[in-house]
Amino acid sequence: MIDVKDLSKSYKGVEVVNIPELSIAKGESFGLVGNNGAGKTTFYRMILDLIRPTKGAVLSKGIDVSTTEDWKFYTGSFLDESFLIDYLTPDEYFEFVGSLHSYSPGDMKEFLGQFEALFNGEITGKKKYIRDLSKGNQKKVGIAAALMGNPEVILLDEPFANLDPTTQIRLKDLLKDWKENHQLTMLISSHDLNHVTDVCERIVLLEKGEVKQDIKTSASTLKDLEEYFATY
Amino acid sequence: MIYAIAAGMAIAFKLDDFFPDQNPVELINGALLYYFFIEFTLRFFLQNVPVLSIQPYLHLPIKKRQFLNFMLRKSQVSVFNLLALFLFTPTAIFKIGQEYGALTGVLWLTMIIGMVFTIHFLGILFKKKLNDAPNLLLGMVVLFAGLGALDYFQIVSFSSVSEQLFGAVLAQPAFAAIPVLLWIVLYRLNYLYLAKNTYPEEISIKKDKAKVSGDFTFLKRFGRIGELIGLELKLILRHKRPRNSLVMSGLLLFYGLVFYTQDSFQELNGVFLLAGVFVTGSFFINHGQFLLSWESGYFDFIMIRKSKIRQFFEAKYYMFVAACTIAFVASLGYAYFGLEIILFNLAAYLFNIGISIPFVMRIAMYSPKKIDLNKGAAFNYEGVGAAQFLIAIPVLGLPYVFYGPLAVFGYGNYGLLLVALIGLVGFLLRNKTIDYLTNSFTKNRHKIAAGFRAQ
Repeated sequence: MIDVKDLSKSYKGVEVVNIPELSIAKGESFGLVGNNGAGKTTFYRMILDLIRPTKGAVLSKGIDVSTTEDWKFYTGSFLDESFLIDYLTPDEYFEFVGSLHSYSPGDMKEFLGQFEALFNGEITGKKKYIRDLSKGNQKKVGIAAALMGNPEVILLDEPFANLDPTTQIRLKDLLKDWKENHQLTMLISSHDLNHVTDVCERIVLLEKGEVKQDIKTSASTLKDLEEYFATY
Repeated sequence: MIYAIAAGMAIAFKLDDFFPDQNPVELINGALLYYFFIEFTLRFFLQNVPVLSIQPYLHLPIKKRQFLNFMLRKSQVSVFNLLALFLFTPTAIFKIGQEYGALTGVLWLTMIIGMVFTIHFLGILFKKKLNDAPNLLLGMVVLFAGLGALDYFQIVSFSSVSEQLFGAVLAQPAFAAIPVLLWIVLYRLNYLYLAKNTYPEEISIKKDKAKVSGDFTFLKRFGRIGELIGLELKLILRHKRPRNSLVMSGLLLFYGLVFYTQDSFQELNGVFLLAGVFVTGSFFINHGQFLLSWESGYFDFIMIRKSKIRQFFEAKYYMFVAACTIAFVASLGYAYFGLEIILFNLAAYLFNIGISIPFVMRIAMYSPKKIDLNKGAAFNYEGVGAAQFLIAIPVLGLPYVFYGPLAVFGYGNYGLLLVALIGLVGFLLRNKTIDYLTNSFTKNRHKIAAGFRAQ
């Protein structure tokens, strides 16, 4: 689904990402872990063609993302607040994104229905702009909007941060459910080793822009990772 | 600032010429009360309350007393407080100083300064109290209107009250201590108020706006483009700064009056083309110069969403065309000053929509800067770069490149025709231009996005 070829990004001669080869298969749930500054977000931005790689390319369905806009039609993403239009209310925002995917009002109702548990009655139907929502609620809006239009791939940066425990668990269930029922390819980065090993079947550990570990999640993965970061 | 000094000089020296039969000092004293009323009102709308800035200090081991004093003192350094100083210092030196002696002049100025800072702290206190009692504003408006009415119907003359009040200092200079005392008292009141309310949520002046404005559902009939225009309109109406530039554009509609009413321009009517450019194009000049910067806050959204970048530019183009058209239709009223003005405006309008809009859009793409939409509008130069200065050249100059040579040789009408035709051709080729804009954006997109993120 997504193939990385010789990808490298440097700022003023310092290499922040260097991934010679990485492939993410369709339907795979891919977890990216690493300390601050490991290059996780930069890597994701290059997958979304928001940053031009210094070298190499990211291929989505075999096509370089910087040469076409086609990937936008099947890729959902939420990295940070700049993915939200903060002067709209959540309803207006969903409506706008929905209109990009030609959702009818019925489609929209059905779509938002799936998020009732996640939203916990705090998002829709409120006359409040997104900029006035709490960080956690903004995140909920962003994640829901990223899933709009039945994407085949979804990229989430720190989806569990800022969420309350109940919502974290509901989000995990939601993601697992989407993976089961929509064959969704998921790319998740997180500092929360517990959640990310729970949701993802493959974990890649990034350190200073390089892939240090690439493991299939097993019962011992969480312990191994904790050990790795403790002795880092 | 220079204007203020110049105005101050004018008050000191020119007042004699305008009102030769009145004593200038009395006149100034009579006007002071009005001046302070106006200043108070201006401050109320424009001045920032220094309160919100205490938040980052609250958790640090600094004594409350220290940072409150620091905050209040710092607030005194403000353009508003300098204004009166510039306006009245010349008078104090050259008029009062000469007539009543240097000491009286200094004390008179001290009184002015005392009043300025009294108003300064009164304004802050008032703005904060307003939070507890929103009806205060209404009361204030009623009070001011009532006082104004009293004055207007000459039941009470405030100018004579003002004259006696401020004139008292000239008779007995020690009265200058009163405003200074008021200043200190109000400082203390502010301090006490703040000390009791150091919880940011209580003193924050943000009002909870439950209202959500404008839906623009009708635009959805125009498909994706309409949808995008609706989004941009929401952006404009929901933020102070773009809203202000929209209001400015509305006011620029009257810019033509400057030209059309001057007899000297009737001969030299080439200038009308310039007026036409402004009158019909003010919106795209004002708003379009920051084309992408407005959306810098959610630029990543634009880049990753399932919408063709071309439509994004198409929407902007048509929004500007629509704004020009509205302005042109409104400008038809200028026919009152002569039908030829309509011809000038028509030529300028066509040139704007055909040539100048794409030009502005292209130049605005040249390393745009981030704009934080949630900041205020007054004295906000965020997003202004070299490109914003360059924009004036093609918009104002290009029409004259075509019109000028013909007009010089007396074929002004053909010049207008040429300008209009070129504009029309540009408009007919709009799809090509939008393609070109899209391409140049696509080439520079990473640089623009990085620029918005970095700042």
